[in-house]
Amino acid sequence: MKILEIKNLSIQYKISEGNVQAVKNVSFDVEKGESIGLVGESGCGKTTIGMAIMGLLPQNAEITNGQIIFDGEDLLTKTDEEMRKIRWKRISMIFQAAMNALNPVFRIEDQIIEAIMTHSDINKVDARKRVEELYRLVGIDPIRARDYPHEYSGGMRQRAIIAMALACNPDLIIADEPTTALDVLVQDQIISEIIKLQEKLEMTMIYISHDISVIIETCNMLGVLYAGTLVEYAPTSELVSNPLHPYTKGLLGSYPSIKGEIKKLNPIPGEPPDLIDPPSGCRFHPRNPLKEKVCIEKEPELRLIDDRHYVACHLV
Amino acid sequence: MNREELNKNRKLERSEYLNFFTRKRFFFLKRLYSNWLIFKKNKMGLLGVVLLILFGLMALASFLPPLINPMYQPMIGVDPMILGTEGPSSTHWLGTDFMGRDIFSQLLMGARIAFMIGISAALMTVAIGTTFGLLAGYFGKTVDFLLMRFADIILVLPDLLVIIILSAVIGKLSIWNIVVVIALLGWAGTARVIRSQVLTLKERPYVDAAKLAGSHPFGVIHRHIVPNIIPLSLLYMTFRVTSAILVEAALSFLGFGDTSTVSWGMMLQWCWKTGNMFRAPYWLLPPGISISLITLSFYLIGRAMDEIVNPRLRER
Amino acid sequence: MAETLIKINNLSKLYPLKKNLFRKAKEWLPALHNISFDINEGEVFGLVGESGSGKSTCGKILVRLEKATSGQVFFEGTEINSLKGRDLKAFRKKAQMIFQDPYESLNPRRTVFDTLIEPLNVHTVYEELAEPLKAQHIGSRDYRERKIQEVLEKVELKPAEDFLYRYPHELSGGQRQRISIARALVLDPKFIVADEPISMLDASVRASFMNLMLKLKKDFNLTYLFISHDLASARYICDRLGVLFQGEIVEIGPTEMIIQDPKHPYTKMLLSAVPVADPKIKRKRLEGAKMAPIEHSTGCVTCKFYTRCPIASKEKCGEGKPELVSVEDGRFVSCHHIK
Repeated sequence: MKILEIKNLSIQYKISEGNVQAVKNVSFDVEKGESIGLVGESGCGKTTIGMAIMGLLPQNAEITNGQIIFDGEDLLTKTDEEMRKIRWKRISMIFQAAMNALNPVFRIEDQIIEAIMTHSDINKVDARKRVEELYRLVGIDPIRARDYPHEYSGGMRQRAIIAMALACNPDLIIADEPTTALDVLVQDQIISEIIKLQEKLEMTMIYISHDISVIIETCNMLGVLYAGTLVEYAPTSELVSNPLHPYTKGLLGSYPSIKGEIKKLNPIPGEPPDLIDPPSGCRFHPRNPLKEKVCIEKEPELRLIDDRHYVACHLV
Repeated sequence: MNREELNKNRKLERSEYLNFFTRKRFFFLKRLYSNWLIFKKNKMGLLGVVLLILFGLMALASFLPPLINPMYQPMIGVDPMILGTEGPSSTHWLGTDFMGRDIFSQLLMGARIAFMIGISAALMTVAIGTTFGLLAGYFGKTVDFLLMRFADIILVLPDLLVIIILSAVIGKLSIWNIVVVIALLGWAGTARVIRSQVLTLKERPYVDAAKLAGSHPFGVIHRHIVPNIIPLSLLYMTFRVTSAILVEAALSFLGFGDTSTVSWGMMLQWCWKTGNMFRAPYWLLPPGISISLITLSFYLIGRAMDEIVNPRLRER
Repeated sequence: MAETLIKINNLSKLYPLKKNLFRKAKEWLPALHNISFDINEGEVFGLVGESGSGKSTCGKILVRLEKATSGQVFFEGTEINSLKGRDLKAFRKKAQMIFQDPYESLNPRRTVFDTLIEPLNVHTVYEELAEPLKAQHIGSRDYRERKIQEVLEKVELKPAEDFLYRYPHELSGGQRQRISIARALVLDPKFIVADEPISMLDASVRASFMNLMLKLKKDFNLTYLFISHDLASARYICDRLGVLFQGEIVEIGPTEMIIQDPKHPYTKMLLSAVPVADPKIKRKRLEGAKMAPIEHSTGCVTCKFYTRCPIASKEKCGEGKPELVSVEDGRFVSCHHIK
């Protein structure tokens, strides 16, 4: 059953230098219980999509086209009040640098309780019990709930944020780079925690990251974004073993690995484009040595190639 | 290697030097312009600028009245037709004071004095404060300790009281004496703020890189710290102008100012001393309102500049 | 056999924690404790560890941005902690550093030209004094300008004229990092410390930057100290690795050997925690135990890793801090279980 369908989403930001075409014509579907990874470099629009789903885009952002259909309803047609009801209760988010999302002058328990009580009709006592439950779920000793954020280590704060995101048992969680600022060992703990939770609670998850290894380990579907467009979307193992879009191939070839032989990395030459004035047609064509005339003229459509393997490329 | 060979290999032409310098000027002006755009959005700041221009014109116009008619001289002009203080008339737009001197020309002269005092005192204050703050912040340890303890002492001294005591001890203070003393008593606040800014700047990697290049500490300060400090200094200058004008006005009003100058404070003093406070509103109100308005104008400009200097204060 | 460029002996760096009224320190934080290793000429030595392990501090000490509290660092035979004045300035030409944050590494108010010419302005004055051309000033200026163009081409920012007069905000992260390296190269150094130079760059930019570093090393016979918390990139670029844990070296050796056959339990744990971009490989993280520290009247009697070590045992590990011993040709480990 499809829990989230994004259809032809286009978003732009108004800044003093012009309009940034942050997201162009992105479409993908998310089935219930899946974990989708959105990977791309900085500026590719992955965070923007996450924020759009939550309805948390900044003031200067404008959704020029598209629909975000969550459980049958288009979120983009909802009012602020309606979105507030959905947010946290049905869709919640783990933000980037989430450790800074905790208010340093309040106890963590109080902050989570506040989140719970704002979004559901539970009284304080039950809310407190829920916090204990959540802490056990994420692997922190419930006694520590009464502490202040500065008494937690980075990894613990991240878990507290995850606990907060899970508080109201949402159907969908969007995790935006939850482990970027953490050390390798802590990152690994958090990732395994997230995988465990996802299996246990049968949550649907959208995992946004620039680190492809982390996404490959945690997600079963992978979407590759480039300069605001979705260029490939496929099951993880399929995408890794059989990448079709030239950007995906290039991206996979840019990550060094500790396993296997040391192969020379062949990064994609050039830089990501300026989104105020993006290239015509396929946004990747300036960096694609195999481009053809049609790539400059026409924007490629996302087409189904194989079993759930979508690519947006003229040359495939 | 001789001169000819070097000239042969010379790749940068004279014209490119010019290009370089004009580019620097261009960038400076472009930054100024974009800062002006931000400034413009702040209505209060614009009000401040308008008032400032008004007072500036008044200060410039202060040279005119004596040229038109010697009886308009602010200190010594006497209207043979008038004895004592009289209200506004066609020859004296704001009336005359107890000696028959024209109040309007006194007001204009006061504007000139206010600018002179305000700006010179502010310049001196900020020069001392920035220097001390720079040295304390950059060199740290003993230098920091000594300078900051010294600043603490200066900070707690009550400005007005000290100047009054000084004038009682030394005798009559001239206007420039007052300016110097204001600067010597007022630099401490600026020094602290500059010091904390320097503390953050000094940790930036480009400062480390300059040290790595072998630059002398003063070279590093001059090239890397000072340019990033100047906007803050200018900002604080606007606040010090208000402070200087107010201190001088208070001093003059209390009778400790320079009796040979016509400042607004002096005008208030004469008005009060000759018992005309409640009888001659045309004499009392103009200088009082002018003091308030010019102080307000510098303060508003300072606040608007704060948004430029401190980008986090900007509204979206 | 490559020569030793840098020899580090028992380097320690302590930071004062608490100070009494007279600013004399009472408590110290040991950022680095008894570090000893060598860096050979022409190699890339990787210093890996988590945050707080002291790797950045070590890098800064090697280029004299900080001074060691105790121990010696020999650069081409000269001890650098005692350098002063002219000698220190001469040393600066040989050892340089590039930093992690491309956005903060360049002064936003100075153009690329200003940034690159600064090191030259500081040093060239002395050199050109010896030349008869100094009197005319033309030689120096030309030499500097040529050098800048050369160095921009070295870091593959072509055409150089395009970049000379740009401000940092007109450059991308990858370009800024290249300017950082150009600034380091402008004095023709022998040794460059790279403090996490790629962690704030995008994936494809990282790869091209690492390739650039390797190319520069080959072309100009550079030696690098590559500081990183990312083991995958360290593996790609480094010839030898040193693993730091809370200020102490636990393992040193050739990169491939450490990656394929780690000996110290901390290294094993680190390697098992690195995510792998292959869905077929099921990775299992090595779990650390939660051991209670062994208290003793004389202070700590175990290695620092004891409380988290998966193979910790009271019998073997209670014999004080382990020494760095050679287990194979060029490999050193500090662990009681390995003798």
